[in-house]
Amino acid sequence: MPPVMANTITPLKKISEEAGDLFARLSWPAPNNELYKRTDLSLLRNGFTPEAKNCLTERSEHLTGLHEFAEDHPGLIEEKLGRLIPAARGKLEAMNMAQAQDGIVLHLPEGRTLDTPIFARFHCSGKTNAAFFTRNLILLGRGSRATLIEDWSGESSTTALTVGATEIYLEEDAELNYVVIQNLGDSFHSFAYEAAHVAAGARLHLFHLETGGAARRLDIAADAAGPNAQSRITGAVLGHGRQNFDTVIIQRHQAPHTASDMLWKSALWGRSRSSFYGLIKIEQGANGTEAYQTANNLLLSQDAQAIPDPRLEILADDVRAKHAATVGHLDEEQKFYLMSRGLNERDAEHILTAGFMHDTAGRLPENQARWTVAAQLEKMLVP
Amino acid sequence: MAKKASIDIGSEYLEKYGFSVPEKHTFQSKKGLSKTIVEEISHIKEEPEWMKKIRLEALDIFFKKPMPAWTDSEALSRINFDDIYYYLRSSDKTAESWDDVPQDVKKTFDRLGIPEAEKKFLAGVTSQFDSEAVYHSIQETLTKKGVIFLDMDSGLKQYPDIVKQYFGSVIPSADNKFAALNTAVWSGGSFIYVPRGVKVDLPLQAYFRINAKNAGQFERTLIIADEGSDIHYIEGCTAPSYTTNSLHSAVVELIALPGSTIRYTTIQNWSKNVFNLVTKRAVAHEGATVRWIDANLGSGLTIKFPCVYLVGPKAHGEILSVAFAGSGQHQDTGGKIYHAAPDTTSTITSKSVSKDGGRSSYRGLLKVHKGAKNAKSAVRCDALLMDPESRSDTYPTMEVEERSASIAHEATVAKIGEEQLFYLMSRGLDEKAAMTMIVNGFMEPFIKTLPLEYAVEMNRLIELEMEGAVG
Repeated sequence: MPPVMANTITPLKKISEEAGDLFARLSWPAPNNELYKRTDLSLLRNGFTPEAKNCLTERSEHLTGLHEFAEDHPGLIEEKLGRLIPAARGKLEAMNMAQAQDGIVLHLPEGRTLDTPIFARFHCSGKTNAAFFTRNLILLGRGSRATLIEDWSGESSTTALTVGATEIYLEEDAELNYVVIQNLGDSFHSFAYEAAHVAAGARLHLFHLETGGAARRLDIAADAAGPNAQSRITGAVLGHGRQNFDTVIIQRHQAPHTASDMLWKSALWGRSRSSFYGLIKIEQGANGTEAYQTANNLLLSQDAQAIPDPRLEILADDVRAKHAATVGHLDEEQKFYLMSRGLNERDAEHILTAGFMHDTAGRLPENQARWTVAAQLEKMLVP
Repeated sequence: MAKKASIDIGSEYLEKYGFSVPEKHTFQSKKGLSKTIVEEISHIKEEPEWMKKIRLEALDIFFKKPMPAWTDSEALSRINFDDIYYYLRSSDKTAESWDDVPQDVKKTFDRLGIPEAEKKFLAGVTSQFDSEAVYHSIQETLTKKGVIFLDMDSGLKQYPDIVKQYFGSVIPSADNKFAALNTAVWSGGSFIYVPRGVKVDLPLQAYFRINAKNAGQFERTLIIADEGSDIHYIEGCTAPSYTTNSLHSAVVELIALPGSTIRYTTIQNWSKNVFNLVTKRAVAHEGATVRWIDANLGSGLTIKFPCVYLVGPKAHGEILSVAFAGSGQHQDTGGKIYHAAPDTTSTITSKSVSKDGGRSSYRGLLKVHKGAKNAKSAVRCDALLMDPESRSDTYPTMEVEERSASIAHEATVAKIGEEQLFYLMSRGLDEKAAMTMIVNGFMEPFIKTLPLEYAVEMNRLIELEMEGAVG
């Protein structure tokens, strides 16, 4: 690789500057924008100050910081960064790319398997109206395997902003389990964009446990780009107070014999709200595809609200596509049964809610990822 | 498998089930839409001043409102509003008996089998030819019971107070661009009032036809079912095929007062050059039931989402919508239910078949307002894709603001299973017969709600649509 000349602009800097120009030119999503109709963007007008330091506080070996990686692999940065989540897609995406303080890169060469999960911890705390921008890149070579657990926490006395973006490239037959546990403080407004390119025979499992933040906007797009690519997306959302979760998930099938399976569950207390927009899109020629999408919502208070909006766009005929959505409340008979056996109402509700959430963690492989999520879920569900 | 020969319903319409008779109109407005045209329509109909005012206000709204952007905008942009006749009248009066119906009109209806149908099971007939009712009869028993079944123009003349009370109360002009258009230029349609406690045992029926090039049809239907009454209304549409585009933009308002039941069945089979842009909405009061049963087989673009507002406790709404999209067709259909009172229940069932590059879209809205305690709703959409060129979309929206609500939605998209085909063919059916049988079975939840003759006709239509499905 040729050494980077001192006065030449690095690919990362170039991408960042171009994103800055785009950010200045692009408008905020309009109120009639289908994908942002339930997202409150008014707070962004308040003005935020990007923090000088990023909030990545801990990372396992095998993970590199974005800037460090960019110095060593300018070619890969040029080739991969901003391809799946281009700055031109929208003002927030451009803001993230322009301002990205840092992030993690997981880069595994062909055939490399990591037997134990690796961790990255992000803890955000800053001054008045602090803003944090992280950019992650995951590159798994042919046949490589890894489990990554990402943990987000933070506190702030004033309103704070996080905008994160993660681009995932899985080459042929690679496998990634990617777990995100988001437990930011009550004052955070958080945006996260994730996009995955899943090549032939590769398998992605993306898991989100979402419990924190005043408002959380999560965008996930998984492209089954090669034959036999598979993606599995799971979400467990626990909403309290006035929290607002706004999730957009797009499962795209661009090749034959691909599969995707999404399960998104929300349990909502207080005046919390969870809106879910999901799309299964099967392109022409993606025959033999199976795609499923399920969104279940449990309302645990009078004022909680759920808005599921699952959609199908099917342009191939030899497929099986199915989506389902439910909004309901705890079964009074089941609650009565438990209470007749000596449990008080609160404990009975707790057991039933835990039961409702139980199958989310069960979709993870039996390793530390599942145990971590199960333990977190249990902790969060304590009445 | 050999290459599948596609069927062009448009070009083969005449020999299959299409027909047309030479145009003959006693009055025809100029092409295009203007204040003068609207005033002319109102003047010719000798309408009260308040209806003229409603029309003119609606025209103003129509001009101001943009075209809907969420649907097939490209297809909608092909509508040339200046190239449409907004008023035609094919006979000067409404006929009281079959003998009074003009010969050429009669010939058309003969092809539709109306007299036959009437003999067999119909309680009354309002047949609209172009823009007005030309034939109307009511069984004596209905008249004795106090049931009013008129064309809308006669309804306005004879019962202005009832019309004034309910007209536009469910679908105001400002609801959408096409509701505004209809309110401005409406003509014909049915006006039905069923008195308290009266049950109409046989379905009332109306046929609508487009028979003139560039003729717009803007019928307006208003059905009021008083407390504890029961009515089933059937509307069937077919049209000859023309090369210039026709626009059908109807408004249907149903008012189901406490404890009443309204069933409204439509079999829409316009030819492919027709834009079918319809607003249908019902209000169901306490303990009332409204069922929209809606089949869309024809038209180039249909945009239609029958809707029920459940405004009284224990009201129930059902929407059963089936669509068949062939070559060059987009069926953009579905349903909307609003739960605005406690203990209300609803179901939406949607079935679609897309073939020869056709596109079916299900679009739905299910809203549970705060305070609609114990609302329950189930939505199910199934789609069959017959070939790689066809497309199916599902866009359901659910908004639930009430904790005690239980909402379930499920949608599936698949093709006809090879095993199912193999099983039927191993029992001696050829591939076409096997496929037709499977599609008929798929549509069965809809077909079984129809009176026998309609069910027979529906099966025949599906058979016609399935021709050419296998090569």
